Amino acid sequence: MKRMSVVLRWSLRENLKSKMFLIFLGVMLVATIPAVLGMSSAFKGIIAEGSWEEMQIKLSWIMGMTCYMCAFLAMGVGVIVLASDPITKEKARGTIESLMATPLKTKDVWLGKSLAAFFPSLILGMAVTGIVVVVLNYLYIVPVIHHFVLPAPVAISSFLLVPLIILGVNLLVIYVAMTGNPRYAQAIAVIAFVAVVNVVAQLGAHGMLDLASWNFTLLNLGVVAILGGAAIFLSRLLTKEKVVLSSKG
Amino acid sequence: MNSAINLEKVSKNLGNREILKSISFAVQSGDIFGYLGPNGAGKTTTIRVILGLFKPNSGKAYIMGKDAEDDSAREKVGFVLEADGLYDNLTAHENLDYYCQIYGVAQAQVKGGIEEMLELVDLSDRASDKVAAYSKGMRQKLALARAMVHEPELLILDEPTAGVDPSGQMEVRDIILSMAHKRGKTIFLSSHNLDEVQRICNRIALIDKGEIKLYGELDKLRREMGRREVMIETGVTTTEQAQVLDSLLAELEALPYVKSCRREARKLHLNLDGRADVSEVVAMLSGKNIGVEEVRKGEVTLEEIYAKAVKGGEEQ
Repeated sequence: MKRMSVVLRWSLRENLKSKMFLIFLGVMLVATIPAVLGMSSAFKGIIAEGSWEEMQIKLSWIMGMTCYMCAFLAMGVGVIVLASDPITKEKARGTIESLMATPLKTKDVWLGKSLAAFFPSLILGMAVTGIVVVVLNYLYIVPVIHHFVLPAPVAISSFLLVPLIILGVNLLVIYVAMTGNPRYAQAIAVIAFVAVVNVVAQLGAHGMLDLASWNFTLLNLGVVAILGGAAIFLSRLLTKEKVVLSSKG
Repeated sequence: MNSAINLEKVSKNLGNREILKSISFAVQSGDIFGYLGPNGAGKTTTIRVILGLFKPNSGKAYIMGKDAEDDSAREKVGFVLEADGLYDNLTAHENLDYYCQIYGVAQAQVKGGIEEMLELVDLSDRASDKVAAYSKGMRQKLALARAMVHEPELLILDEPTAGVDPSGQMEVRDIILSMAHKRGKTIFLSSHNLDEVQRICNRIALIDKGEIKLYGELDKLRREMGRREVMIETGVTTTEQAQVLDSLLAELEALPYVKSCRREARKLHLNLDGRADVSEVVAMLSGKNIGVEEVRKGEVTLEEIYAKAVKGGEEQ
């Protein structure tokens, strides 16, 4: 663990200095404003029409959608931007082979690199989601219904399970990047991310998936378990030889 | 086991290719061990097995008495690989600091250790520069410093002077020698630079097509490689003595261990085989009243050893 934390610290430092991180930071800052503005008309519509009960249900639903998608999008973009690029560079410069030749375990490098990509995504993603939730609540909800709306399943899904899902995806992306071609890892991450976002958004919009329900929270928990299992399984297959051979191009 | 490195019948396949074919050798503590071979012979694969990067298909590799696959075996090992593995966007100091932390160097020793290493490789004044601005020679020196920053007992160097200009090569060689002689490090030097190996190594192994063709002490190998030249400087001063010496050439050539013999002014050049008894030759000269001022042994060069081993293999 001590050696893993060394890899984590130095990789994190490198990630935070990278251009990719600046791009991610810029995207997050710029995207937060349209996200709030975009949702504001939907909130105004819900508040203006229907009964008190209907309004409560709709507000829960739309807050679930907003909060979950915001967390997922923000952190997902972080994985795409930050996960495979550092491995691509390490392989191109031959630094990863040198790291493998030290007493570091392969898992130390894998975990260190994964967490170094995950933490910036986590902090920024949670910050953006938190800001959006607070701003929407205080601009449109609290003045009308006099309390803050963030259903418990939404809070658990968005602030606990989404980070765990993203951590799992991050581990898989870094695994593929370390043992294969980092560009494939990035491509897989992009495709999976776009697919999940679209499916969840479409199902949610058509009322087939209630993101504010406990069922959806359980679904997320299942995904976390599957990703965790996959990560444990893959960790047994990770060898220095695979990393070195894949680095030769 | 007093070996710094010990390979026992190590075989390694990559895909369908057999890269290492049951190779065995040992590097003793204190050795400067030269690992020679043409490109594609299996040198880098051997190093990867030694460093635990590749798992042998059969056989065992040990470093510092531990299984090479055990990550802790590399605690006391430093290395410079083909790609120097330096981080371009970090300074020299930061590169060394990173590795100090990986090897768990005590915090109190990190600063002093880094400064000492940078001084040793003559990069103290560039410690704060990013490595991206370094020349190839400077990078290799920094890679050496990084390899030594945790005070390892064994240094594994893969072509450390490749691509470095002649003065840089000399500097790198001096650093390696200083590591071995002043700090008592064991050195494993993979190279196809015969001159370099000849200058600094005491023991060698020669690999070709995945097989060890030669292995042992360099001096001993030179002696054992069949041909042995001896130069005898005589005290011949007159024409008569020179004529006596000429007449003696046929007698010398008749000796069972003399392969050839020739005179060059006052010098007699004898080509002998491994069983030669030079004292008998000296006695024969004295018997003819020809004084002997100096007897000097000639030895085959590493280049000749190399050519013989590699070409010998090709002929088979």
